[in-house]
Amino acid sequence: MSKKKILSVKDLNLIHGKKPCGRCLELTGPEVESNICPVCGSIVACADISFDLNEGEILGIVGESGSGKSTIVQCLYFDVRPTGGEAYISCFEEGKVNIFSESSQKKRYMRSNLMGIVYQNPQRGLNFDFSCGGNIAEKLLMAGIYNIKKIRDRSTELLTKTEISTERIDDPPGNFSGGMQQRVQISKALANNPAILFLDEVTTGLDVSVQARVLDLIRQLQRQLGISMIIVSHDLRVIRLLAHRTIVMKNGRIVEMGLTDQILEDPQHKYSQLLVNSML
Amino acid sequence: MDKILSVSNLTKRFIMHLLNEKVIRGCSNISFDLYKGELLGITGPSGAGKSCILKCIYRTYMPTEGKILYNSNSEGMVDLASAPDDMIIELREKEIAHVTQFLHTIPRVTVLNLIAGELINKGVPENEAMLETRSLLAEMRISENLWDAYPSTLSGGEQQRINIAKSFISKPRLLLLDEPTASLDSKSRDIVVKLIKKLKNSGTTIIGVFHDIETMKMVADKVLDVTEKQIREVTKELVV
Repeated sequence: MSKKKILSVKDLNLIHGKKPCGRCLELTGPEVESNICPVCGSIVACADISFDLNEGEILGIVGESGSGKSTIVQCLYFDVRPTGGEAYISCFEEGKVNIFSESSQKKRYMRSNLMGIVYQNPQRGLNFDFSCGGNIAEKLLMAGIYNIKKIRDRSTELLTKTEISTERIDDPPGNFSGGMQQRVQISKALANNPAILFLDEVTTGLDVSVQARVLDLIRQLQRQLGISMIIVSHDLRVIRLLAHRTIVMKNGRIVEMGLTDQILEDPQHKYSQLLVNSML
Repeated sequence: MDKILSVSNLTKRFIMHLLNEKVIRGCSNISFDLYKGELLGITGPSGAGKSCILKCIYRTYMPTEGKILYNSNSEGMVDLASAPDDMIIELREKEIAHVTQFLHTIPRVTVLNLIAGELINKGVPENEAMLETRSLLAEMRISENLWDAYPSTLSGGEQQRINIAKSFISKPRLLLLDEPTASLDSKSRDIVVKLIKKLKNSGTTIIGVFHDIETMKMVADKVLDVTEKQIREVTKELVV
């Protein structure tokens, strides 16, 4: 009965630096409370990251700024190229091929057909020169849907789902409020019916009423469409409400991984205890 | 009768890394067996570790020592103390429910949607889920004009009953109740007691933490007094 894995990540790491000295990984980490290599000055954004994401599961990633939370998501969405490591997606080549070693063409295919992402900053996820319908169309065109009527219908459907008035389908996102831009971003990310959705600090900076609406939307999507999600957030309350399991990160490493309520009520690692005890 | 749960030497200690590795005792050496359809009442003074036992079984706490053998429907015998996280998630979705004293929900989801959502998650069609929810809320005498309200606007006692309804609706196989009647008036308490009995009769195995001994006597088949650390069978005399 055990649930099927949709994504499996093994030993992912990313080191920023012109010439990593080879000892960067052993000389950094939560034990020394640093992710800057003392020998060569390289920055270890993330290292030794291994985890599985199950079908229909929401996985939370928490940790302080600079702990490598977003790096993981950006590596998986091919925004940045990892230094090492492997990842497998069950619905791509039957999960037998390391997605990082694929050609850029195949990576584009995976991005357009299997994944969606919502960035903290809508400027990053949306093209402000296009209308909001155009932004959704862009994602659909990438996924190989060229029929104008189909595109138009799908855009209308998605905007309705994210509670944006369809009368504003031709407005550019720049004319929208921050919360609405975020919902357009979610529409765009959902356009291709992704198997995996990455949400990077989606509720940060939104006022509480919009935040509640976005949270409810995410939960509904998971419930109705069964999309697997990775949610990066430093707001533990958001994680508590949404995530089944949670990863705690510090200095580019996973320090603890477990059931969300267990992480919040019985954290084992020193840093997780600090994080939870600092919660309001 | 089928044995559903067998807990042996369950011990939980918390190590506080931020307080010079201070060790706090949660519960120690708890052992008991539970059969299908039984209700175990746990009682004892505050801080004795009553809730701790429930949280270890639900795996909100990672047990330090001991075994929690659960005879599951779908996975056979499972040691909840050491089962992998995804198995625990699966069991929580299908078989085991935990009613805490607090209601944590996504803001601005109505009472009806919140409770019906539990059924919809399990694959029950929406209209059917709504019907069942309405009938449970009516049975719990939760005033009809609250059904479309957001839980955060309800009183403490109403929230507690919503919380109970949320886990009762899907008829779990093993139910962990933490002070289910703590903030209820006597009338609401009687309704909840009636529901607990009904659920028990339908085959749900229940462990409940009670402060109120009277309520516990109304529903419990056996009692675990945490200070004495042994099971007492509830007899007729005790009930009277």
